[in-house]
Amino acid sequence: MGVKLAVKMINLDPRAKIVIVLCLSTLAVFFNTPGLLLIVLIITLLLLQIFQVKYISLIYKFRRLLPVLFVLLFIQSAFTGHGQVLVAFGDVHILTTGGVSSASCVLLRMLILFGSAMIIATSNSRDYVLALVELKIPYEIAFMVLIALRFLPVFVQEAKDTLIAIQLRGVDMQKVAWGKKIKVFTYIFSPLVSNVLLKANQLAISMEARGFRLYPRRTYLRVLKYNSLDYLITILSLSITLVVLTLSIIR
Amino acid sequence: MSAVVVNNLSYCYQKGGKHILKDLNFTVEQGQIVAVLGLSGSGKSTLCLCLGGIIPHYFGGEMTGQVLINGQDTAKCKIARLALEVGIVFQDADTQLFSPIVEDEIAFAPENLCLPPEQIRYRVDAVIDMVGINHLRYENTNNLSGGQKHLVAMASVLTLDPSILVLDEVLAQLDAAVKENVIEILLELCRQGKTIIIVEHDLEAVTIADRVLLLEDGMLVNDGPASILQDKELLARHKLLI
Repeated sequence: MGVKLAVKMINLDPRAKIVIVLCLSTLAVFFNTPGLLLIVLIITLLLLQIFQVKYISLIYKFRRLLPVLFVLLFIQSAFTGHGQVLVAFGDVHILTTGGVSSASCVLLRMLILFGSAMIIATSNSRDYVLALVELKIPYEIAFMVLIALRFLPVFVQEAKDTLIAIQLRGVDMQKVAWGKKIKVFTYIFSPLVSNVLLKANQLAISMEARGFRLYPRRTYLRVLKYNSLDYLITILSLSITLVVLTLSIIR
Repeated sequence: MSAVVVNNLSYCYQKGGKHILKDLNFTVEQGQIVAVLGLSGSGKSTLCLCLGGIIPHYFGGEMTGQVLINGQDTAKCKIARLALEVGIVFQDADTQLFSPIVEDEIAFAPENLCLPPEQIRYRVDAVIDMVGINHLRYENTNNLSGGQKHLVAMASVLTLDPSILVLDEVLAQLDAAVKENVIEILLELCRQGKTIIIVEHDLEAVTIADRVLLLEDGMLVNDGPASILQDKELLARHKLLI
């Protein structure tokens, strides 16, 4: 039963998935209390569970953001100034309940946004090109999105390779002072940008040499079908989001 | 009508700069397999770009002379239109593959022709069978080996059914088994009447050629039958023998 549901959900039309993600993201941006955001996060995690996405890695990756959130906690406490003061240094509020609440909201919001984006990854990126074209977005722009997704890991790898190449020449990044680190990063940035431009050029040539933009429109091997489950999910997601938002505004 | 006619072709990437191609003249008849040999920097890849119309449409620079592909002047024809006549498989397979799945990659070219899905499917199936990559059909293009990427790149060009196929230093990058497979495919395409132009620096890779053109420093220094590959003195003179 669970496997069948997961297969059905994974095979949802990409447009239905986009609607789910848009609804979750809208709620994440709209709510600004940790309680409500926590409920949205739980719904997001439940959806990820249904889509059989391994979201534990997401939470694990977020540990890197903890120092930033920690700093945020104090900045929010010092500048927002609302809530009960927990720690103070003279007249300066070091930690307030308002600051804790704001920092928690930031963390929860980010988790929801990244988590909901993981739902997108359950479909093939070529299907999103089809979805965008069905949504009347010009196919050239839809392909730009596909290519950005395809080449992002390539550029990350290239940045890592350049960094390794610099380290192999005797630069120990751990021991380099912060001021000099910026200079080292300019050495990474220049070849990276030139490689990106070169690759973009070659890619454009390769696409055009295969007839891209020969006609104002194009056809596709696969055809998307919006079936009853897609309609149900879309209507349900939009209705729940609208009701929740309306209720929140009224209250 | 000749498949390819190159008349007094000269090219430099920047106006007033060094000429990469210098006054090239040759013709290739339909159904021939022609090898273009030369050292790195001799202008082989630039010649490929000229054959596909990428020069002068995409790159600036200064091109003089004329390239006719099945009678069409490349300077007056859009690259995408020329793609129906001449298919180019480039050196770097990585930048040619951008779809997440092999099947989508191969379908990209016929999709541009606005064919109905059934015809796209037919072309994709036929090319996948011909190139022998059925086992890779649903693979992620990122996970392929270098040789497999070249096969997919070649298949994706063949779905346009071009009458001329240009391979830019593809064979030299393949291992022996894959190279043998590709050579078989090229011979089959030749039997179907297609014109094949193999640009290489590796002599072993071009043994199937009917004719060999030697490029040196942008100039055509020899145009003869494949038997010139046995002429060690000639090859040594052009630094093509180690």
